[in-house]
Amino acid sequence: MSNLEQQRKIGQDQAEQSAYMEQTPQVEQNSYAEQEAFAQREVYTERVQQAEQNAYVEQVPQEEQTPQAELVSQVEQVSQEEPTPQAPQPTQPAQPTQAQRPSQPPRPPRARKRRATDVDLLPRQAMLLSKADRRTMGTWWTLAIKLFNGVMCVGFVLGLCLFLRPQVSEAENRKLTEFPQITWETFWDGSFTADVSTWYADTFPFRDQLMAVNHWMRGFYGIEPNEQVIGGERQADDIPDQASAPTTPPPAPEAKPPEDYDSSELETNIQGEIMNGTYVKDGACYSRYYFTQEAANAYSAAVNKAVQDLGDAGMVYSIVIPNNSGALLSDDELAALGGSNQADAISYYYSLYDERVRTVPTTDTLREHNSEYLYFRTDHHWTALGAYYIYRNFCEQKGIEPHNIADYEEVDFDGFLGTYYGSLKLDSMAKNPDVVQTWAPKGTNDMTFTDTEGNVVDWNVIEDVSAWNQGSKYNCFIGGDQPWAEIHNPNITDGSACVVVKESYGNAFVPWLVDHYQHVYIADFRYTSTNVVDFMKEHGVGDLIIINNIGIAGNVDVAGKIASIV
Amino acid sequence: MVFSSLLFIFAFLALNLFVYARVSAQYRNPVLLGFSLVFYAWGGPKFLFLLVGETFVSWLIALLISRASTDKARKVLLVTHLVILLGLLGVFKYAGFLLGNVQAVFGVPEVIPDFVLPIGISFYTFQLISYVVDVYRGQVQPQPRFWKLLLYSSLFHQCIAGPIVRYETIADEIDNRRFTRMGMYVGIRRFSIGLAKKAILANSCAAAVATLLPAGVDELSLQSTAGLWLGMLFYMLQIYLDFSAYSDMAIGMGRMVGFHYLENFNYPYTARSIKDFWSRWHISLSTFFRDYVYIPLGGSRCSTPKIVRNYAVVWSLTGFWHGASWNFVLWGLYYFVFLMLERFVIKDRMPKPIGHVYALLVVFFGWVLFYYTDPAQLSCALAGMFGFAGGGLYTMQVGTVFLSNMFLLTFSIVACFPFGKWLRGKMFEFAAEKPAALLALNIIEVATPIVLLLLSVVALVGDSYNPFLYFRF
Repeated sequence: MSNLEQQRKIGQDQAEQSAYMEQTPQVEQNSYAEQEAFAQREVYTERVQQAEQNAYVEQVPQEEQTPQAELVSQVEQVSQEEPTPQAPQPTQPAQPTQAQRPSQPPRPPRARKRRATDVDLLPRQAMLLSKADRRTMGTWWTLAIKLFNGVMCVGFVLGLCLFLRPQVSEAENRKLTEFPQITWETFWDGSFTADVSTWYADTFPFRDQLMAVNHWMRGFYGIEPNEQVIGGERQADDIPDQASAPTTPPPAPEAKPPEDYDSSELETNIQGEIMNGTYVKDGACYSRYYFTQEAANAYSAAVNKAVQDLGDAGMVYSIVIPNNSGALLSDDELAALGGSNQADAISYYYSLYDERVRTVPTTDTLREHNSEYLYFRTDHHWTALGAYYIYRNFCEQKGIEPHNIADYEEVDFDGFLGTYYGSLKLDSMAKNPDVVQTWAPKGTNDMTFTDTEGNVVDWNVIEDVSAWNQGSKYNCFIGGDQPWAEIHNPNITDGSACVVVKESYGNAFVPWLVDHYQHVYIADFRYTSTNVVDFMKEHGVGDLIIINNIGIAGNVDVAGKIASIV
Repeated sequence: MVFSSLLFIFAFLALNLFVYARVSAQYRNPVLLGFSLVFYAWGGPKFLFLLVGETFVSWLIALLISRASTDKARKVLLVTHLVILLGLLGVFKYAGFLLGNVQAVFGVPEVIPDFVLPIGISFYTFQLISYVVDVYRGQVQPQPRFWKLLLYSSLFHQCIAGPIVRYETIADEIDNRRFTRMGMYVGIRRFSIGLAKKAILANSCAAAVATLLPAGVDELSLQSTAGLWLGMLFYMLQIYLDFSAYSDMAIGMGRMVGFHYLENFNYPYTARSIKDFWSRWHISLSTFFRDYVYIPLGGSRCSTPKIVRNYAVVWSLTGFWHGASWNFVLWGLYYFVFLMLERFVIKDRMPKPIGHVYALLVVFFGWVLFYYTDPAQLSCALAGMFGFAGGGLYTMQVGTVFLSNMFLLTFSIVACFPFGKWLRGKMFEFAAEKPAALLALNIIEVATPIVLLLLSVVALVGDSYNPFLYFRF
């Protein structure tokens, strides 16, 4: 039987079947016997068997032989340049017996009901195309399949090229996931395989370039308003009235040994403090601050512990610095931003200290000079200029004469896009990068630091970072965040020394101290386990300077870690 | 393994298609089975035993039912099967919930053990139940080969979160399907569309939801009214795009190898009534409950109080299936109320445009119920939406999120309507008239899956966090 005749007969049978289907009520429970009876209709069975043997027409169930489906089969027909492998031929006897179903038995209407929403059916307008056009479409579709296969191949091969996988992300300024260790437990509960999936995606070759494309794509999601608030509100405690401040300092937090504190956890907490609630205006980002009583108690207790343990052996200075919003924004803008008042919070912190602690005023001075470049726009740190003004206040507290900034040589590093840019990736920031202004100490630019692995490294107080990654330029100050560092000034011989307990805010501040002390020791509380007070007593160090940003001082774990090393 | 991850696309699927295309026809099913078992084991090998075990029990019982001589024996076998499967589902999914309630009322037990939910248990359990019940009803021949039944229940296209595919849908296609170019193109197209919906649209909506709807009652109470409404709108879009994308990918992948799965979604947000909505949302689930719970209970062929009872049972079960928490049951009953309202009170009197708005509003508040499992947060959110928000009516944060996601929001809303299909139809119309249009159409037909695939890969590189909402099922 020729193809055409066969198809005509199929069409006729289908018409018959449709009529049958319409007559058959949509009963909820079709008995199998009913189906079998229908299947016994020899004509249809024969037709089905012949169609099965014929390679041209795709086997589609009853309802799909709509005009579209016919079209589909025709396109399918012409797109087959090579014969597709046959589906396994069912081993059927000529007559289906009661127990055996024919290869293509009729379905109960419910089971094979195709909804009209099947996207794979061509739209009804496809019927308007001529046969030649459909043939062309078939070849184009073959091209699509080839391209898809190509993309899959490339992706598969790239994915296996382990040597192409990056270890760090320059753009995100972080170390990328490592291939996980396999143990029986992690394999059994699925965490190993989950980590493999993460590793595969996180270290995919050309990740940074793909991320750049991703960023470009996300630019189309919406428009970037000039003024934006990112991050929701948090609960904050009210700052108690100064007059009602307790006369006895609050109790010290539970002392955990310094090794118990996870530095990466501290980093995450600190990151949360900075990025939780930011306000962006004209490409400059400002952080909100939330006061909590618990943090105030913990921090002041840590400072008081230092004073008590040090006793008469030395002097403790506390410098708590407001963040950029507290120093730069106007009162109206601050009110709109929300959060707690930083000036009040700092005063409250200072009021909780032991009277022997020397507190350095910060907020008012910074606000006085806030038309100058005191804080970075794209980074949460302050500039060396901002640190200079606070250094002057420190000198006043200490009773020494501060040096004049004009006496120093300025070296600038531009193209700095810091932590805010790293998180938010806003175009308004990218167009207006920061400049890191530095003034190297006159006495010496040499220092040494001990890194996290214990190696002692020679370094510079102000390092030339012009060739460095745009996100890392703040690390020009004292080698960034190292557990322990030392600066010895050969021009001073009076044995004066200080220990600075700091996080990254202290980095811009320390260079100003170098020309006043013979020895400057720097302890980054996040990474060091050295007991600072013991060190001071051993080495006859006179001054302990605890310098922190108010947001970071607002974290209870931070306070606990500081208390553990004093 | 999540479908929308680079590992799945470039390591698993690429290898699967490569091997599938190269082996001879008789090895195709074993290849699929092997890959499916690896896929399932990727989420935790220990749960593979549960899947294989349940499939074995189902296979055995189905064969016994078909060979049983008495009706009573068949009934006993069926009941045994249901008890085992539903019992296991109950233990893994609901035991914690039940014990929690017992503890709340009676105070014992003191400590509730942590039950880890095997992935996809809700889906494959229902698939196996549908298989055995269909064998019991004589609608389907039992599968003589265990491994083929295992292929059906573990097939990676739909095992974890895909449409609840009935055995009768693919019974024949297990043995008689064709690996054709047509199927491949159609499958690629569907898969790419689903992947793009998920990786680009749904994930971005999820990010907006995470920003606007903070976790924890404290932060939630500080959000503004506008923020809550916008957040829930994004969630409404996210859950549709997410889930329908997963079904699209499953249907696409099935089509690539020759399986025809039934549609699971039919543009639910174009519904004109709640009844209409449920004929378009998660169709495989609602038809499952219709055929295996509603109709056995009597369906609509009984007295009105019984109809109401049947609906109530079906809808509380539907809600309960979605999660072991009271808010899901509440969500199901919420729809029950509206369905009863439509059936007995409103009937056909609602004009279409009003019906559309009404349906969207009802569904919107349904999602609020669905999202918050904690009653405290739920009441906080609802209070906030009606003006009692701690953050006032509007904050700049909401404006920022809205402006920076404006086009995404528009595009997501358009994606909820059959605009793409309409456009494609129009292009075919033009193509029939002008050869230039035909050429353009052909180029677009080729470009659509490829461009969507590449854009999705780019979108996925940045997402190391990629939640699939229905994954806890």
